[in-house]
Amino acid sequence: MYSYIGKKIISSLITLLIVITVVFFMLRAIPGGPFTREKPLPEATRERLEEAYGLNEPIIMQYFIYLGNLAQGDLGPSFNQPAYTVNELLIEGIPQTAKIGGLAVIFIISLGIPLGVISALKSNTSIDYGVMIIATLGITVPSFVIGTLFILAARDISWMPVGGLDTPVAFIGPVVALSGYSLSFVARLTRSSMLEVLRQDYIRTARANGISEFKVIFKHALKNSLIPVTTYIGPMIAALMTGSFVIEKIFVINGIGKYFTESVQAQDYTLVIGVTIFYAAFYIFMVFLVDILYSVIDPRIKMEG
Amino acid sequence: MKKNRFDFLDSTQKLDKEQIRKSLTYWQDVWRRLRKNKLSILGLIGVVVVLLFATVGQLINPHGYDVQNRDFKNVPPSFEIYKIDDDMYVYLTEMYLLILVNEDGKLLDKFDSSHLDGDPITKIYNYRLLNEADEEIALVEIDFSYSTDPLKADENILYSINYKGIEYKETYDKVWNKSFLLGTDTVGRDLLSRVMYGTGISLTIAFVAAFINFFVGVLYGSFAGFFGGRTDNIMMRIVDIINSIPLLLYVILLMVVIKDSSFEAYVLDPIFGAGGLGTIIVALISVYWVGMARLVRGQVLSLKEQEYVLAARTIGVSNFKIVTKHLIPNALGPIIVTMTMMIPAAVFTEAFLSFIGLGISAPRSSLGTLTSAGAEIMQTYAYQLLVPAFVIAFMMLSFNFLGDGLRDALDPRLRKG
Amino acid sequence: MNNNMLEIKNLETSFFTHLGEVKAVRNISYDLKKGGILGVVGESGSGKSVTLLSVMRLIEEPGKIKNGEIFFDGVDLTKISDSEIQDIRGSEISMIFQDPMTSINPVFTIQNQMVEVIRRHMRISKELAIEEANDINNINKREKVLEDIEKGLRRKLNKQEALKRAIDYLGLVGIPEPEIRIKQYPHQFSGGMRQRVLIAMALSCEPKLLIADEPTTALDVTIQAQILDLLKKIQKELGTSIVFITHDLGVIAELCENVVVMYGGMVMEKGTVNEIFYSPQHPYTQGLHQSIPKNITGKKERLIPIEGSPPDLMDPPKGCPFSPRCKHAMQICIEEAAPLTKITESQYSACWLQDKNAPNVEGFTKSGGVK
Ligand SMILES: Nc1ncnc2c1ncn2[C@@H]1O[C@H](COP(=O)(O)OP(=O)(O)OP(=O)(O)O)[C@@H](O)[C@H]1O
Ligand code: SF4
Ligand SMILES: [Mg+2]
Repeated sequence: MYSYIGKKIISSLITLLIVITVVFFMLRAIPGGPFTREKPLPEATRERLEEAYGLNEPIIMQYFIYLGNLAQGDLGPSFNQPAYTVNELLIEGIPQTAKIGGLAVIFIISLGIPLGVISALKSNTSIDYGVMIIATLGITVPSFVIGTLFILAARDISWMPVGGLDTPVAFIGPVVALSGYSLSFVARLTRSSMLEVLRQDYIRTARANGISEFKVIFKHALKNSLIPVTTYIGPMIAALMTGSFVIEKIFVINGIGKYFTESVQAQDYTLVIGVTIFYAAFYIFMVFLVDILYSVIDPRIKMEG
Repeated sequence: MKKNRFDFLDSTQKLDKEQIRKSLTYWQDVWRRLRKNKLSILGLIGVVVVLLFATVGQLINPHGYDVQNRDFKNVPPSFEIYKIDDDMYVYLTEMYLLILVNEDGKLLDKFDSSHLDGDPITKIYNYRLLNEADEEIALVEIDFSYSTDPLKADENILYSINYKGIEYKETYDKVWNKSFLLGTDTVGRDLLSRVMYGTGISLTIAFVAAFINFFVGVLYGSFAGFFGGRTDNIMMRIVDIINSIPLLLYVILLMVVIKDSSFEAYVLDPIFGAGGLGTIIVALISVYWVGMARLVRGQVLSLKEQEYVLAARTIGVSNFKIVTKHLIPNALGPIIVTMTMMIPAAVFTEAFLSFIGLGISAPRSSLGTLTSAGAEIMQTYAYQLLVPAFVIAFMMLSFNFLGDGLRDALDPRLRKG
Repeated sequence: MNNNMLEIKNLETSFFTHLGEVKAVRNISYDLKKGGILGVVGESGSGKSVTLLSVMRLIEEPGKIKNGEIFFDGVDLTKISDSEIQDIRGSEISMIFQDPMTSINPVFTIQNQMVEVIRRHMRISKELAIEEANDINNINKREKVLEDIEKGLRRKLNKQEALKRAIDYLGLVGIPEPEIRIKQYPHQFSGGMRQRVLIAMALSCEPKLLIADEPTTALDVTIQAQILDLLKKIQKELGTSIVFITHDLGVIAELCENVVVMYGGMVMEKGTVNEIFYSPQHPYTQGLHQSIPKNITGKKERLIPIEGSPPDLMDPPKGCPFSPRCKHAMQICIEEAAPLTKITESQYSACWLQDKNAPNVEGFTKSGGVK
């Protein structure tokens, strides 16, 4: 078990290093280099940048310097907002993003799984059709459409703010729009996996042993049908992360998603690379956690290295 | 009689009991099952409608997607008109521009209000209709004092229109815009044309990306699966690494790198036309093939052990031939489903990129750029958001229904009754 | 009271699919003596499982028991409520299935699943209950508890007791080191071991009737023989009545006392093992014999199907279900199904050849034993 986790950690770190390397050289591949394009830089920034990244060094040295800084947790100054370092911007943005992201995860799991189960148990009734129609819409209507429609609707509701995160109700819009896709996906996945599990032989065995229908569903069937749902959690985190780019923009939330989109639009390379690395590290870490969760739910997954 | 009933039957009498089931070819069978699924047929119809909309639609529609009608900016698909004379109807836009229309809702001309001649105290402003020679042929005064003047505050209107000394407070009718069926955008381009053109661009991106992804993914996946062992290990490790962060992040990074670079200027734009269409396609195909590669590899691995492949090997058929002649056709079902799903995914990604400012640039449009432009002004001109958003949702829904239906129809586990 | 553990009377079960009604079981009757072993044999799709799933009331949507009575120890199972049948399942009647690989829940330990079943049904023994009651100091309370015990109201087993019982039963079915193995997950067991676990689970509440639906089909031959021996031992030692479903006449010969031969959702013939083996009276039964390879060497035997295919149960032949494939088919056979005709005290056959008007065919006896 420990060696399994150890191996996972090492392979996660290697992956992260490769991602950093690829991102680094990708941005360096821009003709003229990231800090010398189009807009002339303020002298102070240029000096700081050159000092921080040793831009006068050969590219391979720059890479190691960047890694060295990174190892100390330093992502360098922002290219467009020289007064701030990338770290400062991240620290400012993360709590906002984490709040809506965390709420979205809770919302998705606490609503998506029950909806899927209900749909499966009432399969081919009007309840099932209703849930599945909404779930299909949730998957097919992009989050930015849901978000903007929400704002359109909210302008006629006096107590519903159309942006920011200042009151508790202000969370409704961003969380709903951000969760839409994954919530629908989880509901659909739970439903189909529940239906599949209910057809399994071991469910018939449980029934043949007189286990009550309640326990058959909520003990025997539910745990099995959650296995595929667990495997979706990784992609779900990815969907929420990238989803927050537009949600934060639409709802005017100062999270890292917004910094990322702004940095992309403003071509603030240090910020782009910093946020990307943060995202990659976070994602790899979450996938690692999901892996462990997965092996807890499904005993057939071997934990031996 | 009784005796007869105990006579033995001869063999012909028995045979007609046996049912002869017509044997269908694979594709007939798939089509038969697809047809049974109402939702997927709806999806198929939806896909055809979208394709026609983007192709034939553009040919029929009289307006060009990039023609700016400066007189008619932000005119919605339907509006309220005032009748101010026999055969004279006007419509005041949200931007307080006065437009001369006919009774049916055809836009005729714009009143001149460029000099803002009016009285800021009484809030009565003049709008002049000019002829070709810039001579005034009609003067309309609009009284905007209703919202500010306490004496008039109880009247539930924002302004009144005065023409030839008569004050018109009530609208005459609500009419559909006959000149521009879905209205115009901020610079007066016909929204319908732009949406048709944008749908075409989005579909082009999606189809080109899906097609190239298909090729790269299938080649990569089938070779990894076919050669197995070390080759497979290394090839799949690469896929794992690419997959280890959300693919959209790479796409965004690639967009940042390629956009405005000389690669875009000298290689992509000459092929795909200006505006960064090629950049989006290249960014999309750089990473999205990995899903297809994984899938094909899995299929190939399981098919590889099957007898006909072993047989082909034994008689010395070349590896390449086995992959192209045997394995790929057999893995076709899931590949087609993935392709169907890749198209809406690419449309979505394009829209997403536009939304964060990486879309293709004007005057070309895509569903993404239209939605994102619409979102900026949705508080005033909701239709400019709703129209492209609806098309995206419609398209996603259609492709998803079709894809779901195909998945069921192609699923070999269900290939029975 | 009669001597039968199970009596199935005129059972009809159908599945109402969107393509039409599948008449899986059409008017079936047979019974099983207390403590006996009954074999049910027939080609795939003949309705063997559906009949016994009907007994367990485990027919799921869109299936339905349309008609008939199923008496278990005198109680008509088709009439009792859902919760009553749930109490009977696993405690009075247990069922084990064909594929042990998929029949145990993979995400819970054996202990978890066995203890769950035992604690669902088992109450402590009367002696233990009385002993416990005698430890109660308050007289009134003790009297009341003793009264309850007389009425059969004893407490259910606690976790430790259930665990001990589960381990005992695993030992009984021949699982080595049951205290250790019980903590494991199903994937850590081989197919034969899993079938033993399922048998242990099925027996752990001392059912009166065990229904075994092709329990050995998915196993290798040697394991198959071990499981059959185990079932024999159980029947002898615990006196459990057993219904054994199989494709395999060889297994029937080894294990059963009585046999029911099914085809197309109907009973074709029933009788003792000797009768079915040495004087089969139905063309289908005879066909079954001919389709067995003659060298009975202990190699795994599956019936080689008789020429032709089983009837379409959506639109079954009006007369005898076997008529399209029967080499003796007569005009009447395609018009009307033959009644089950008594041949000896224990043997019945549903074939028109048994009718007194039918032509004489060698190897077939007319009703009442007239040759
Ligand atoms: N859930 C269901 N829906 C529709 N038809 C069903 C269902 N379950 C069983 N049947 C039909 O009932 C008929 C009898 O099935 P049953 O399982 O009893 O056969 P069997 O004799 O047990 O065969 P096998 O030896 O293969 O287990 C089959 O034709 C089958 O198609
Ligand atoms: S009833 Fe007729 S068809 Fe059926 S088995 Fe007897 S002879 Fe054959
Ligand atoms: Mg069966």
